[in-house]
Amino acid sequence: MKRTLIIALTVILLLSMLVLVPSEVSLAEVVPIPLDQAKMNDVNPSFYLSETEYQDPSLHITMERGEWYAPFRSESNKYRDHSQGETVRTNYWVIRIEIADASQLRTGLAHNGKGRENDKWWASHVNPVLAINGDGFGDNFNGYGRHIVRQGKVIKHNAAANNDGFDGFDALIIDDAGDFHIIRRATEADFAAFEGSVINCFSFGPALIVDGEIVPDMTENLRYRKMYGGEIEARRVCIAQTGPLSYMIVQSDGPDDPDHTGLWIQDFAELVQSLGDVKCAYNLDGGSSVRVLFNGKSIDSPYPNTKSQKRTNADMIFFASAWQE
Amino acid sequence: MEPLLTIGSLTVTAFSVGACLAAFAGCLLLMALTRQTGLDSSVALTAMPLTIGLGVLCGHALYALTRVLIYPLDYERPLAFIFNPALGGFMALGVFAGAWLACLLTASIHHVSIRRLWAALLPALLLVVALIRFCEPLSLLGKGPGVEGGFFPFSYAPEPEYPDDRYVPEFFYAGVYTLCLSVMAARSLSGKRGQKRSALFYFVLYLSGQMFFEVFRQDEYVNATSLITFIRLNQLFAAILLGIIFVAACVRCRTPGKARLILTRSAVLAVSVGACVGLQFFFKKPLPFFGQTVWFANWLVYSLLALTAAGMGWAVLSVLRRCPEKAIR
Repeated sequence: MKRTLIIALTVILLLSMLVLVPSEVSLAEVVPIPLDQAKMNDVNPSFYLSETEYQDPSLHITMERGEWYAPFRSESNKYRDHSQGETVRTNYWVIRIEIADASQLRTGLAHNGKGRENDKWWASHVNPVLAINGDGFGDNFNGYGRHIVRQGKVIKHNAAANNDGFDGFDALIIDDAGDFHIIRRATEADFAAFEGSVINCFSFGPALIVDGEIVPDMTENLRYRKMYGGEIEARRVCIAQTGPLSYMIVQSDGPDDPDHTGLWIQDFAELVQSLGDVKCAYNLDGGSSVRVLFNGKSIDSPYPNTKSQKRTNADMIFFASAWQE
Repeated sequence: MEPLLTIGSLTVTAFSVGACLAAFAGCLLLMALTRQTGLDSSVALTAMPLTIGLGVLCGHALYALTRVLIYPLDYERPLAFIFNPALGGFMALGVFAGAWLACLLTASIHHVSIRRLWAALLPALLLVVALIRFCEPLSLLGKGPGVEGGFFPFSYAPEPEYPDDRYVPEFFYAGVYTLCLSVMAARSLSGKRGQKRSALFYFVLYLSGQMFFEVFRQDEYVNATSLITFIRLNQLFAAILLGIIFVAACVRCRTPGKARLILTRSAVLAVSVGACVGLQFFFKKPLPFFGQTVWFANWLVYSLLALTAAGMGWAVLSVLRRCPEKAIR
């Protein structure tokens, strides 16, 4: 009898192992992030492989620093490098991102679009792995943007937007599959005709690359060109799609940063195109608004006392982990 | 990874089925080996549930303890996993500790020799650990670095949709090694010499093997990268245990020339541990060498690491060999 009981106990314990030993990793998986989740889950810090790389089963980010020599544009440019011919040097970051689920490419607003916040706030309230500034949402809220959508929510739709004398801004729509759709000089009819599911829509630009080709006439409209500072040497940042759920961010330094110049928009587009198989690329808010946060820290400028390091941001585009342990 | 079966909040995975079958195989081996060591089958019957229960409990407790001690500063995580093994993981050395407790309890219940029972229990435990190691890919564990150039045999593709992404099968190497130890430990029970020190001898070999095989491991399981970047936790615990066994053996060792023996073996052990740690910095990193920058081939670093693990095992075993028969239990 005692022997039978012990055997029964052993069998019960063995069977209990079926549910006691599933292993946390076996249950870990890529879980799409709800559209309305504002703060991202913490990630295992060991996924940050280095100062320039993050990898978990749902998200891979690599960052590289490079130099770009753009055509010499200004006689007064003190950074002109004669050894490189008629060119000036600008350093840049190229960040390549691969995600497992479209929900990992997200946008965030500071105080529902009614305020601006610094890096610390974005890191603690949104908790992204990587974040970049958006299209200057706050500046466009009451201004020129015709159609602004964030995380599936229409923030602004103004059919009769005052575009100050020209047809419209270039729009970037990100759909529910994480694919980019660029609409040049987007009109009300263009937005109405779009058949996909709009998760995020940006309304400023301009578009730099469409269908792999640099947009030829991005500086054709004088007022638009002046608004985004197309022909000044400035800090710039853009987001590009390189494939399904694969993206690239390029951020170039500007005159805020000691020993650096900046790029005209045309030169910036050429830099972006040179960095890989870019399907489409869209310019974001530049100048001192440029911000790149990685692991909660700003990496966009190595010079913490520059103007850009002190400016706050109204909206951010960010990448989050969908890996749940 | 999809669970095989879900009953309420309980989940059965392919890995847990494998672990259960491994434990069953261990029970069968234990039954056979208790007879071989002259113990009554009732001893094995008592040892089995105690070993399973305490093994699971201590294996999870060690895992939870390390997670709580190492990660709280930078990794917020619900603490429910501490009291629910199904939400957390296990550490093999914790399972060994649980089994040792079960051995002590069983021996005191049946008034049998601890040494004799442990000699029967250890091969069964090693078998269970080996079989669970073979199951690790079911749980996305046991993956080594990516294979570039085909240096490693038996490389495998953990994700079928990416057949070209091949990795070093750390789980396989460690599993085969542990299985060999299990077979040798079981076979040694038939010999008179083996019964004297077989359990500790093979346990030391297991620990030094851990020092080497863990080097390959790339997954994040109990990897203390946030605290210690150059060594995995399993290596750390194995090194500590080897050190404890070494010190205990040195204290109890009674042999002519003891001082010299301890001095030389301590030096070998220290150099081996130091080299094992230092060599981990040689992977994929350029190092200055007489004004030049050199890259060390991975195969060379792995070979040297194998030597350091062997050095550790040899240093401990050579002192153990000179201890009186009943000195170490």
